This record gives sequence, structure tokens and C-alpha cells, in this order.
Amino acid sequence: MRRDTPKSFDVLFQMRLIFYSLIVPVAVGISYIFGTLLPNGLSEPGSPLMQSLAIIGTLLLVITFYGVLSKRFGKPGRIGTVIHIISANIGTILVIVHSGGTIFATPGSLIILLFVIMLLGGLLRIVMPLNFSKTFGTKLRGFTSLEDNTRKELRKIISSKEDLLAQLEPNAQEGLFSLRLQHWIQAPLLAYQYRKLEKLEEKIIGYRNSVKPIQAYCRRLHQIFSWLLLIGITVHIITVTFFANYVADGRPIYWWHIEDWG
Amino acid sequence: MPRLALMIDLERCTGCKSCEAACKSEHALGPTERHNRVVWLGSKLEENSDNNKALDFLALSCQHCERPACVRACPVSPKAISKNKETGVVTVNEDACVGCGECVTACPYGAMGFDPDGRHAVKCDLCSDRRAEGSTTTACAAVCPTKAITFGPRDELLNTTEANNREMIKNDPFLLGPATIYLDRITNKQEKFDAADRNSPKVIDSFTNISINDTVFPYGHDREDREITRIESGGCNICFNSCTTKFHFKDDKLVKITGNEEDPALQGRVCPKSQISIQLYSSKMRLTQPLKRIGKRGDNNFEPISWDQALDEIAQKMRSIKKTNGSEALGLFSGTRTGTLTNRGYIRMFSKLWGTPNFVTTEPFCSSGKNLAYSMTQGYSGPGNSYTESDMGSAALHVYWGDNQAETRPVHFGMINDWRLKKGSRMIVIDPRKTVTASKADWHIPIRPGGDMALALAIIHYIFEKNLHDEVFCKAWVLGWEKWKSFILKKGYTPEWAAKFADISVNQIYKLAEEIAHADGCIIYGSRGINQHMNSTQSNRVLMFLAAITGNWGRPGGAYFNMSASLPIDLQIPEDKLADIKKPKLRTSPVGWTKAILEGKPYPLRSMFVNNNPMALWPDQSETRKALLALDLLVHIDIFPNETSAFADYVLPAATGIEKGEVGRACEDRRIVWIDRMISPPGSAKPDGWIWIELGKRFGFEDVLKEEWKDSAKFWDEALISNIQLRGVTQKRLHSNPYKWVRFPVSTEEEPEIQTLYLEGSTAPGAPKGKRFPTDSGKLEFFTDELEKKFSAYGLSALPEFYGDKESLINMPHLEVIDDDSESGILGPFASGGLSIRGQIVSPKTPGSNTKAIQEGYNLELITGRPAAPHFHSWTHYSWQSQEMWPDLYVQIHPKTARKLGVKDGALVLIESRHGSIHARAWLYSGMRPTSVFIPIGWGERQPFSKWHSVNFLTDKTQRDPISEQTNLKSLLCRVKPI
Ligand code: HEM
Ligand code: SF4
Ligand code: SF4
Ligand code: SF4
Repeated sequence: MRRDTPKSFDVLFQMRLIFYSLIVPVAVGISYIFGTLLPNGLSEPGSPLMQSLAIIGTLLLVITFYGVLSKRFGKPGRIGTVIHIISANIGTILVIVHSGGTIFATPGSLIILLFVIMLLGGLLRIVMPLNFSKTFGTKLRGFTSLEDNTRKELRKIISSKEDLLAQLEPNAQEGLFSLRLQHWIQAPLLAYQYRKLEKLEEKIIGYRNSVKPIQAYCRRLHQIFSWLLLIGITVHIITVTFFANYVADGRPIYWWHIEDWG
Repeated sequence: MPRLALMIDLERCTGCKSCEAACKSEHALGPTERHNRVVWLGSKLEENSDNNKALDFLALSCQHCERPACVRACPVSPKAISKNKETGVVTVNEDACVGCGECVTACPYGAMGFDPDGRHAVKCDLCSDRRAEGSTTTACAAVCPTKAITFGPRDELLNTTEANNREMIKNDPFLLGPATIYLDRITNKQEKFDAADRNSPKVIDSFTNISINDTVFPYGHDREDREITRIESGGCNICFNSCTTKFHFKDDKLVKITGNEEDPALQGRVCPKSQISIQLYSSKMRLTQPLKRIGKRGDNNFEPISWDQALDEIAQKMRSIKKTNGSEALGLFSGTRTGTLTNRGYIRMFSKLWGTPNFVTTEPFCSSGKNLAYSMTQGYSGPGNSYTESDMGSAALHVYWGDNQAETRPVHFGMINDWRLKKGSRMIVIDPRKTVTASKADWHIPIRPGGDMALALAIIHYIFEKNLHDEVFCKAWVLGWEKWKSFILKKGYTPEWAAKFADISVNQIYKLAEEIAHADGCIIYGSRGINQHMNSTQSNRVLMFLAAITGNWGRPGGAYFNMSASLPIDLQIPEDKLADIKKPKLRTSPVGWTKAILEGKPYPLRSMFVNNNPMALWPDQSETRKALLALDLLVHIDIFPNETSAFADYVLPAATGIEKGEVGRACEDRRIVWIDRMISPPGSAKPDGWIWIELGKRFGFEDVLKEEWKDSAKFWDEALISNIQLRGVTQKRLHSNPYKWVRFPVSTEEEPEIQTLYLEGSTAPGAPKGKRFPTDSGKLEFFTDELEKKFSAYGLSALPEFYGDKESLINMPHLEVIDDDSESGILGPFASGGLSIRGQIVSPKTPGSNTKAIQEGYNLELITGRPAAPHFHSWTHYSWQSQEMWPDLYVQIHPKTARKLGVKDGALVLIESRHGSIHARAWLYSGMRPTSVFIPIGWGERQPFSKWHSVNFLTDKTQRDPISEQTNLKSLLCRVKPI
């Protein structure tokens, strides 16, 4: 089979980045308009309808995480990525609808985060593949010389890594090994020390400095903001569930609060 | 299994990118998707950019590291990249890859590829699929024209490195343990190779917006879809290297084109073009139907019509033009794509039956100067040596003089360079710019454009003065050499005299003369750099004289070698069928026809059939276009629409190579390579032969241009090989070996091939017994009374007197052309009896137009010529991959000069000559003479991928050699401005 997209999709392909960057603002706009049109009882973020949307949206966002992280546990990566993108899109829209398009309230910062994440995700998916591809042959650091001292340092780093690895995963080969979630859970201190050595080595090799910053950090930022989002959502859930009064600030509290400690 | 690796020799690699083509073809990789890339490296562009580091090539692919950074960076578990414990091969599992790009960021060699369409990493795995199918080598190593890439167990490669005493480049600063071995330069080497003091020019591999959607089968298809079911041997029909190839099919679909490893001469080596030509065969842009113009000429508006309608209407128009203006009012021009069988056979026959003398090929742009010079001197229009180890490979000295063989016949150069390195012979390159050929030389002499004849005369002067000539050879085999000797001495063509014209120091001239005189076997290669001047014929003769007086003629490893060997095809047409031609041929060069079209002088030319692309190829585009637009009938026959088709009344879709069956281009090695017809042309496109035979039927020519000759193999045997030199090159003999070539001359199917012609004691093929050379005297002829008579008709003398080109930064003796193209001039005694221009040598003291031009700011010497190996004229501009490698028209300019003009590397600039202006991108190149710029040919403003005006908007049709009518394309004045 030919790995090909028909020509008519070309335009759409170019458009997709715009699509990803617009998805959040458009969803916000539409939700806001809906909010003004729907009766108050329905449009409140805490209303049963909006609440259900929030729950489904959040679940989808969790699946979004699962989608990409599953590859780290040996699940098929490419299917994961597809799940990741689909669930991220629907989840994001649902969560925004739930918010009623309010970006100025405290939880609004989560929506801004979503916007940034979607934009970075879109970049990663649409623009970066071509950048990755065009990187071929553009860095020739491997054909330059390195100062003797730096090489000595590098040698030391490698042998320290080998020492640590003997404790972390005795059967592994340093040259092929990198940390997985399992190591962080089982031996966080060793993992941390190992990571520090890796960082030193990466710095000498050039690594992220060897390509354009956008290419080097796009995924990193997408990741960081995603984890921030996860933390933000958790905090949001805790506050609305356990500090309902504080959140409601005079508006009705529905069935959803478990305890009002606020 | 041992650890496997590639070994890459920087001394050999010519940056041709054949390995890139092979890799993409083997793995069906689409645009920007790579497993390898040949990185061109220049010197840094600082104040004193180092000429010694002007050009090197780094063939880059995965290094198969011991501690692969890419593997460690991969976030997937289990890793999507793995390393084979035994072979050390690092492989990506494309299905497991999530496309995060971390490995790309991690690899410090920039050797991790990525499929932008499938969004996953791709990489070199040392052709594991191919090896699993039984191949013993990788795709890249198999085709490399220069043997720069070797594949094998790493230990064995290291042993050969040691045995050959070669130094390795340090490629492991980060302790990753790369397997790939890089051998450092030997010649021209200043210090250890370090990529940190190199710069990669912006015009190469600069990415275009080509996507997988611009490609067709097999690119982007899985291996199962591409399983080979049939392989046929044939050849490449693109350049004079005439390489043998293999065509690999899945059923009827062409899957790839490779070299033919069964060929003992070429051993499977090919340049990128033959491999990439699969993209031409299957291109979506091919012309597939006859087209008829609707609307204004040049609007490029056409309607599809049937062949019958097209040919009937064309024939009708031809008849009416003949009626009013005579049969000579038809001009026929045929370029290289059309092929030898058509150019030398079908069209030529048609022209004789129709009755027009006005049929020309590209010869007056390429090689007519050398053809005439050879004919006068040797009696036959091409060199007699061959690309074999015991002939050309045995030379002690190779002097490339205006011949950039590494880029124009990459495989032959690879062979010569290989033999040279093994034997330890010297290589000198005389060229205004450090061409790829020059970058490999022991000594590069950056001569002033147009100074070649002066330099050659001075060398001869030195040799005669010091008595270094081969007197025995001269006395026995050269007619008129003593006259020549006294002429040279009397004229005072000393090194001191030549130094200024050639811009080379006197001592260097002495040294060069000594080297040539003392070498035991010296081959002087000359090519377009010698031919494309107003002194084309005379320069060629002087270089021939130089070879002759040093005994370098008719011996293995010694020659003046200006390609190529023209095929001695005689057409058999019964006398009574020949049309009556009343008027002599207009100029030998078709650019001399413009006045005949525009003003009807010397006589009117009203209709033309053009094959290929005059609207990019012919010098002086503004005049050319004006003329072609003024024709009553313009028929264009080609495989792709181009600038010319846009102006045509009818466009006829042609076939090429394996779609029609033909021989390779006139091979400089005298090998005639037969290419069978293997597939049908696209749509209703037809072989050129079919078109001429069908058109001929409209005029009743079918008893000569026979229906059955549509079969090109039959046509070859029955119509083209009657000359004694070709009689043995029958279809039977061509098909009797697995590589389908025969080296001519052979007079029978059994006669053995001759490696070196004109050896002492031999008789020249076709000549009366005892005549060593096929001249009347049987000797090489420098001077005869008859020659003198002929030369003087043009205003010149048989003993070559120095003159240069008209446009130059210094005042040289140069030639002023006397006859305008609207005038009859003379009936040229040399050039096929046509009307010729005359010239007059003007002394340097007469202030030429140069002074004024320089004052107007035209203070750079413009050289035009062939671009890098993946391109050939306009053909390759329809292949996405050539385009990916070399997308843009460029102008090479010295960094110092560029700085003065405020031009940056890769920037768009305007180039103006006194004849026109174009745009191009700047390539700051320290291998350029600071006073010269170079712009390649082949680009056109209607090409599909990137549109640029042809460099021929800058050239001048009036600057022609009177004898050969070659146009000066190598020495013009221009100015460059940033935009
Ligand atoms: C709410 C929205 C999203 C969240 C929370 C999210 C979260 C994440 C996280 C945590 C990763 C890192 C995975 C790792 O550590 O290996 C990641 C990677 C990635 N994301 Fe997203 N993402 C979101 C939306 C998107 C969208 C809309 C796209 C594409 C259009 C996208 C494309 C990608 C890609 C291409 C990667 C890198 C591939 C990989 O590492 O597997 N993401 N995302
Ligand atoms: S194929 Fe050409 S570019 Fe590649 S290594 Fe050989 S000479 Fe160099
Ligand atoms: S050269 Fe680059 S891609 Fe190849 S194994 Fe080494 S790190 Fe990986
Ligand atoms: S273009 Fe010339 S060198 Fe290249 S493969 Fe064809 S014949 Fe050989």
C-alpha cells in the first residue's frame, strides 16, 4: 500500500495547524455564546449537564495522557498517538463547554493552558515532522574535534553511569539504556543521579542545542504544560468537590459537592 | 556475523549523490525522507576563505554507533530503535516509532532520517532487506561511480585502510563508537579534516516544497509492492558516459534502475541520473497527447487532437510553405534527448527526402569545434583511446583542460581517478573555477576564461625552445610540424607573452610544460571549456599539436582526448529519392538562422520542427524567442512541456529510452550500448522514429523511410551500420553479452574490439593499408596547402594564430565577425558546405568594446556550463529528486567579490550582461576566481518545481567561431547586484 495522502487533502493538511490553534478560542467563543443563550440553570458550569460534560471531558483528557504514555509501557505507540489526538480534541472541547467560555475566572487559566498545549501539539504533529526530516545532514558535530579535557570528562560520566546502572538494572548496557517510569518508582534517588549524568553527557554532545530551539523544546514544553494541566485539573476538582461554597461564591451549589470545607 | 560497516573515501567521493539516488530508490523513500545524504562542504566564508578547503564531500549515513545516542533518546518501551548484537546495525522499528523526533535531536551526526508523511523515524540499516535477499553489498556502495563507498566487515575494512596507509578522519568526539570509517584526503590536504572549519553552501539541498504527492510508484510504497519479478539489461541514454544499467520490474511496472554489475567495464557504477530517470519515465508531467495551439502563440493554450489530425494539418502547412518559399524554408533542430537513432537516422533521412539542408543538432553548441579540428588533424572526428586500465588508466599524467569530467561523465572520472590513485599518477586541472574535478587534482590552475589557447601556445613554445618535443614521432608522423615550430618561435608565443592572457605566472607555465613534456604518457582532456569559445577550432588544434609533438597520440595512456567519438553512420538513400536541394545550408549554428526567419535573409526560413528546448538552450534568448515567434509553423516534439512547447503551434508527445529502443549517447569510450524497448510510452506518446515515418508517409516517403523501421532494432541493423566501422555492431552481437555493448570500430560480428586506435604499425580503421591515421597523408596534419586555402577563406590561417574572445577584462587579440547573419558570407569550405561567417583578428591595441563595458560596470567574467551530476540540461528538472538535490539556479561567486557587492550566501541576485539579465541565488565559493562568476545551464522559467530564466538570456549569438560556428559561452562580461 502506498503511504500517501490524496492531493485534495493537501490544503486540509496545511490548514490543520490553524485548526489546532483555533480549536480552543473557537470553543471558548461558542461556549460563551451558548452560555448567554441557554437558561441559567443549564449554563452554569456546575449544572448537571455541564457537570457531566466536565466529567466526560476530564476522562478523555486522562485518556489523552494514557494514549501517549502507554508507549512507555510497551503498548503500541502509533495507535496511542492517534487516541491521544482524538481524545485531546474532544476532551478539550467538552471541558471548555463546561466552563461556559469563561477564561477570566481562576479555572480559566486551565483553558489558556489547553490552548498552549493544543498549539504545541499541533506544531509537533504538523510542522515538526518536516523539520525532523530536514535535519538530516545539517549537524556535523560528530566530525569535529573535542578538547581532551572534555573527552576525559565524558569518559568519567560514562563510567559513573555504568556504576549506577549496575545497581539500577544490572543486566542493562549503558550505551543502550535510558530511564523508564519503573526506575523512577523503584529507585528514585538512583534514577535522579543517573538522569543528572545523562544531562551532563547530553550537554557535551549538544543534543537540544544542535537543532533549532522550537524543534528542540516543542515536545518538552508540550509535556510540561500537559503535566501542569493535570495538576491544575486535579486542584480544580478538589476545590469544587470539597470547597464548593468557596467556588460557588454565592451561586447555587448542586448535588456534586461531597463536603463543604470552605 | 562480524560487525558491519561502510568505509567512505573522501579522496574519491565527487559529491555526485548517486548513493543518495540509489538509497531512495532501494527503499522507495520520498522527498526529504533520507537514509543518507552527501554533504557538500566549502571553506568558511570569512575574510580569507581557504581555497584548499573550497570543496569536499561527506557521504553521510548512520554510523551504527556502539553507544547510539538515538537509542538512548527514544522514549518508547521497548525502544523503537534497536542494535543488532552481532552486526552492530542500528535499526528503527517504524511501526513502533511514535514520531516524537527525539532521536533526530539526539544524533550528533545528523544521520537520523524522518518520514514527514508517515511521521516516523527512518534510517540506514545497511540495506538489511537487500542483504536478506542475497545481495552482498549496499545500494549506495553498488552504484558509487568513484568506488568511494565500500561495504563489509569492519575489521576487514580497517585492515585495507592500514594496508593502504590511509589516514582515518576522527569521527568519534563523543565516544559513541561509530562503525563508519572515513578516509581523509591525500591530495590537496592541508590539515586533518574537521567539519568545524567548513561551511555548507546554501544553494545545495536547500529544501523545496516537494511532497510525496509529487511522486508516483514506487516511492512511498512498501517493499512487498515492489518485489522484483523481471530484470532486463540496457543502458542510460542521458550522457556521453553511456552507462550500462539494469531495469528492474514488478510485472510490467518499473521498480528501479541500477547499474549493471555484470558489465566488466563499468562494474555496476552509475551516476544519479540513470537511477532518477525512473521518475522521468513515470512522471505525471509527461506529454501524452498531440496538442494544437488555440489562442495566441506563447499563451500556452492547447487542445488535444489525434495523431492523424496533427500530422495531416502539419503536412498541409508544410506543403503550403514549400510552395511559396521552397523546401529549404524548413528548419529542423534536434537536441540530445531525441537520441542518436533519430538525430543521425530518422530526421536526417527525412530532411534529405524533403529537401532541406537546414538540419542541425546541438553540435554547434557543444562539440563542432573539436569535431572539425580532429577531422583536419587526424582524419576522423573523435579520439581513439579507451577507458581501460591498460590504455587511459596507464597514463602518468592526466591534464583536465576545461573539462569537468567529474560532474559531466561521473563514472569515467571515477574510473580514471581510481586508476590514478592506484598507480600514483598525477592530475592537473586547468579551469577558471575549482570544479569538482579540480578539487581532486594535485594541482589546480585557475586560468583566465579565454586564456587557454595562449597558454597552450606558450607551452609549445617552451617545449620547442628547450627541445623537449618527441622528434622521432614528429618526423615520422606529423605533417607540417617544422613549419609550425618556426611559426611559434617567430610569433614569440613565449610563456612571458602568455602569462598576462592566461593570468598564470611564468614559472607555473614552465613547470606545466616540463610536466607535460616529461610524462611517460600524458592525456590532455579537453571539452566544452575549450570548445565553447570563438577560437574553438583553433584552440582544439593547438592542444592536438601539443599532444602530437610530445608523442601522445596513437599510444596507450597518451592522447588529446576531447569527447566524444561520433558514430560514423552513413545513410543509404537511393540517388533518385534524394530531393533536389537548391540552396546551401544557412549557418551551421541554428542561432545564425534568426535573420532568415525575421528578415528573410539570406533566404527565408518559415517553419521549424524543434526537438527539446531551444528556448532555454540556444544562446541569446531574446533574439531566439523573437525569431521562433515569427515562424509560420513551429512544431515541438518532446517528452515534457517546456518553454519551447509553450510557443509551438503543435506539440507532439515523444517516447524515450526503454519506451522506444535506442543506443546510448555517442560514448566517449566508443562503446555502443543498446537499449531495448521494454515498456510502452505513456498515453499516446510515440517514439520519434514513428513520428518521422508517419509524417513521411504524408509525402510519399514510405519506400525509403519504411514502416518496418518503426522497430528501432531493425532500423539499426538495416539502415545505420553500413559503414565499415560499424558493420560488426549488429543487434546479434549487441545481444550476445549480458551488458549489451560493443566497442566500435568492428567490421564484422567476429572482429575483436580495438582498445587503442592508431597504434604504431597499425592501419586506421577504414583507411587504405599502411595508413596509420585516416588522413590523406596517413599522418597527423598540422599544415597543408589545402588547409591554408580553406582557413584563409574564413580570414584565418592554417597555423593557429592567437586570438581570444571578444569580451574579456583585458584587451586580447580577438575576433571581430565580419558577416552579419543576414548576409550570405562565404560557402564554408569546412562546415558541410553551408553559408559561413568570416572573421578578422583584431590587435589588442585596438580598444575593443570591453573598455566601455568595464566602465559600465560589467567587470566580472561570466562562465556558463553544466551544473552538478544530478542535472542534465532541462531533462532532470522534471525529476523531483534532482530538484531536491539542486533546486535553484545559482551563481558561483568568490566570497571576497560577494562581500564587496554586499551579496550573502544563498541570497537572490540580479546578473546582467550586455545581452540580457536574469536572477539566481548566490553561492559564495572560494574555489572561484575572484574576477569570474559561474552560472549553470538547464533551468527554465516554465519548469515544474522551481522556475528560473535560462542563463542564455545573458549570452550572445554573434560571438561565434567562423569555422565551427561554436558560440562563446565561456567568456562574457557581466555584473552582479544584490536584490
Ligand atoms: C489536552 C491536550 C493534550 C495533552 C494533555 C497532551 C499531553 C501530552 C503529553 C503528556 C505528551 C508527552 C508524552 C511522553 O512523555 O512521551 C504528549 C506528546 C505528544 N502530543 Fe500531546 N497532549 C495534548 C494534545 C495534543 C494534540 C492536540 C496533539 C496533536 C495535534 C498532540 C500531539 C502530541 C505529540 C505529536 C506528542 C509527541 C509524541 C509522543 O511523545 O508520543 N497532543 N502530549
Ligand atoms: S556515489 Fe557519488 S556522492 Fe556518493 S560516495 Fe560515491 S562519489 Fe560520493
Ligand atoms: S549515527 Fe546517529 S542515528 Fe546512527 S546510531 Fe549513531 S546516534 Fe544513532
Ligand atoms: S547520465 Fe551519464 S554518467 Fe550518469 S548514468 Fe547516465 S550515462 Fe552514466
